[in-house]
Amino acid sequence: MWQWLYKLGSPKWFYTIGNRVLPWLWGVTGLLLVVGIIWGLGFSPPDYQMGDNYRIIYLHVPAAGLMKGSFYMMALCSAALLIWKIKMADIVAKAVAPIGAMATLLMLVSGSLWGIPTWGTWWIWDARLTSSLLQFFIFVGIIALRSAIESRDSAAKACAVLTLVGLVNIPIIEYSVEWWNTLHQGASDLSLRDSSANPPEIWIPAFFTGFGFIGLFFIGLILRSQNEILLRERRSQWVKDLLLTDNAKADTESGINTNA
Amino acid sequence: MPEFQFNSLAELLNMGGYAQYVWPVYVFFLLFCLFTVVPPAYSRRKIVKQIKARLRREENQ
Repeated sequence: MWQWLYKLGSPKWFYTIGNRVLPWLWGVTGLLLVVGIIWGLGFSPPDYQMGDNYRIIYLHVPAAGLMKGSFYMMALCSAALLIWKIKMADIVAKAVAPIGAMATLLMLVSGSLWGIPTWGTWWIWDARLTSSLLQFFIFVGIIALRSAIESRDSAAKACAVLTLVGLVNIPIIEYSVEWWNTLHQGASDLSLRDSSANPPEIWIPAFFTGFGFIGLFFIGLILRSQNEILLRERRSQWVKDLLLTDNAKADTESGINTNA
Repeated sequence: MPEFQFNSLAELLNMGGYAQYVWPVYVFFLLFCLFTVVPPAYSRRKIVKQIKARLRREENQ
């Protein structure tokens, strides 16, 4: 396990493993999302209060999970960068930031559209909504900070510090519904108890879309990290070999004999 | 086995009267998927092209 993690710390390894994982990830993610969305939109029973409007949940809750998950990932990477100076950690942190920002935006937009018919308003400055909006600005701030600092190493360190400071907002979002009187409801009871407000027919599709979101997250993470690896390692021998064999392969495939 | 909840396609599209809230969310999700995949794939092509061009220049020198 540790050795595996250690190897992932090497950009070359990350790049190759990424290429090997991606096709599987594409397949599984696509399947999960398609099944989850079709099930959620067409097959789960309507809510007895919200009717069919509640079907927004199949994207809203996974988006919220992705917002949290991406930020945890960025925080872990930031710690790894600051403590052990692992370069790969900075590459991943940089790759995750835009995905997290977009997930937060998806959560805010879907929440607003859900709020109009259910709450009678698309926005209210309650604790859950305000702290979530703040989280969006934290993501954007980290992305902006990185592009504002020219030296790559300084930018990496500054972003890592800002990420760890921003971590304070996560428990605020998490517990906002308990600490303050919010219009937003508390965490849903997803247990199998008979008293649970949510029967399995309603939340099973959410598991599909939820895992689909995780798959999508890792697809984006791998693609963006690989780009950054190629850019940073462009002068290294393995990148040269990789792209030159790529060339040779493309040439033989198109029927051009390079030796002629 | 879960049952299909709507009697017709039109009813599915109508979403029990909540169409204008439910469908935009799913459209936005589609945009989110595209955002996750398309820009990095596009920049990959650009990066690979740039590096290859540089390698070719160096070879010719």
